[in-house]
Amino acid sequence: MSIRFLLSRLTQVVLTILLLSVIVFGLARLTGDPVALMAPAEATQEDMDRLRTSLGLDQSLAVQYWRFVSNAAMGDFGTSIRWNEPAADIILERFPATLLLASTSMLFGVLLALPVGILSAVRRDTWFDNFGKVVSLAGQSMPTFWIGIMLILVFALYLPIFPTSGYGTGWHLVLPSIALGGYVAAAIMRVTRSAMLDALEADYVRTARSKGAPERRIILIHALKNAAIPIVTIIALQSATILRGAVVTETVFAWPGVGKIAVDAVTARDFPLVQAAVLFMGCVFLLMNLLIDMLYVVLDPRISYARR
Amino acid sequence: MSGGIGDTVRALPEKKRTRQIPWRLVLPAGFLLLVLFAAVFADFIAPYPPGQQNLANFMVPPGPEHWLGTDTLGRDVFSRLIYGSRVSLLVGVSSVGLAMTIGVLLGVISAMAGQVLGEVIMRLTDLLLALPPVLVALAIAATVGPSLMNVVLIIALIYWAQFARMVRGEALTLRERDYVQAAYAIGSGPIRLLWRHLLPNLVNTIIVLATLQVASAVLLESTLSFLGVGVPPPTATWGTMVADGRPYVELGWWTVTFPGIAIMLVVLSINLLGDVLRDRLDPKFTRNR
Repeated sequence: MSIRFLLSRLTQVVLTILLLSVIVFGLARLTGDPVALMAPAEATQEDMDRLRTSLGLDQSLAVQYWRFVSNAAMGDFGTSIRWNEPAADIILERFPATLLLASTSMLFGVLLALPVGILSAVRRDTWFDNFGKVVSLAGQSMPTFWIGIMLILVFALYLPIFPTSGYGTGWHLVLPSIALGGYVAAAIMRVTRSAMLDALEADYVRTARSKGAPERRIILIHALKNAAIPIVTIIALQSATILRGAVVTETVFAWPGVGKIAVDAVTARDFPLVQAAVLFMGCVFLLMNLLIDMLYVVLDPRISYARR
Repeated sequence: MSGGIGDTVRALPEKKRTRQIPWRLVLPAGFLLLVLFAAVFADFIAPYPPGQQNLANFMVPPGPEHWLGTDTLGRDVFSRLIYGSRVSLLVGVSSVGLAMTIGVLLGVISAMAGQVLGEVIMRLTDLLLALPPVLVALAIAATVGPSLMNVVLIIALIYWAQFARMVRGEALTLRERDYVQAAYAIGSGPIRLLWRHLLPNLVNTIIVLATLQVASAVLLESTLSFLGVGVPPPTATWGTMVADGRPYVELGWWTVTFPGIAIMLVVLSINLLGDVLRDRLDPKFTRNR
């Protein structure tokens, strides 16, 4: 991997994050006077002015933006209005819950998608293949919040197997993981299927067949190994996507992660917290994409980003 | 993608194309036309007014009086579904129409304009593609307040990036083609180059992308309405119907189940239609085998 590629990608990511900070900052200033939101109802004009000065809101926008960015760079995203705690602490406190849910969902998604995808390719154009296609397309067409509610309805209310929502035991993880994992399984399945189809048609598979290698070995060793690059790539891409889906799934299942806290912050008009959450999730997502790009080069030595 | 020859040899004896009705096209298109018809003539089709409350009818299960039951305020679910289709179709189509216009324009500009402007536009698309759309929409909606117009604008604001990306990529390649260079050499202005030489080559790809985007815009609208920052309450929308029914889901499954099925069927139909269009219009996409 060339240093130049790495540097230019890094510059891009930094530029994008700066752009994000401008937008996040601007959005918060569009919402009207933060002082009016923060001050208690019985505050006098004088109280409000004092609060404004103490928060630095009486200075020019450029100064305010600079302070916002330089503080953010040091990990200070301001104080949450609702919780009266540093916004960064709140986010970091919730991040493990989001990571936990994302990992179990990913695990569920991969465990579901890989076998189905491989089998669909092997049994191409059979009822199994067509059924898989229809289910994955239908799954992608359902709203995530609705899948969550339906799972709760069936597996928590009608058949009281799992808790309806919340956080704590492993049982709490099951339904949200299925809801979120199903969301990414469809894409992984389709890529697995088409990568396996390509691999199964390749010459080395014909060679392996003609020398009498057992079919199971041909599928799982010869073909799957060669189909691995697109499959690993889509899994990596989907692990970034899963963080987005987490916003809705966490809300439906009252899962105390970053997504839920962000939605709550929006509803409570807690803008420092909204800013921190949006910046945080944006950065995580951008960095993950950068990692995936690099992973791609490592996995497939044929790819180089040097000159296209 | 993979060996085209092997495909044809295998495909020929299996498929009898001649007398078959193209179900992949007819079914989804027919269903969407039906929904469109219901949306336009909702006033004549819906058995009850969508807002008619009657507390005596608290959560009546589906039956002959109310085909799909009633909700917690005694409103007829079937009628509200019909009226809700208006919002979904209107928001889906108009937001993507707007996004397409902005995206195509900015994509072409970024390909033709200087490096700095092009780079800024591309970083902006990076950003929009990187952030969770629900979160961005939520933050903006909370800022500007919920309304039908705002939902359309917000979705357009997020969705133009895909179009800009694609158009820029295509335009950069097309720009180097001989016929474009030739047109430029004989003195065609930028507008003529764009209109006569670039856009006609992009139309198919744009249509395919737009179709798939409409499906995802319908989903996003329902999610925003569900979270309470979409089209505000008196209007019946599928997302709000699910949100309204959710706290009482133990008392009646029908209030949340039917709107969800409606969303799924519409989105699925648009997706299926998009697949067919992709196969027919856009040879660059690989066939979804």
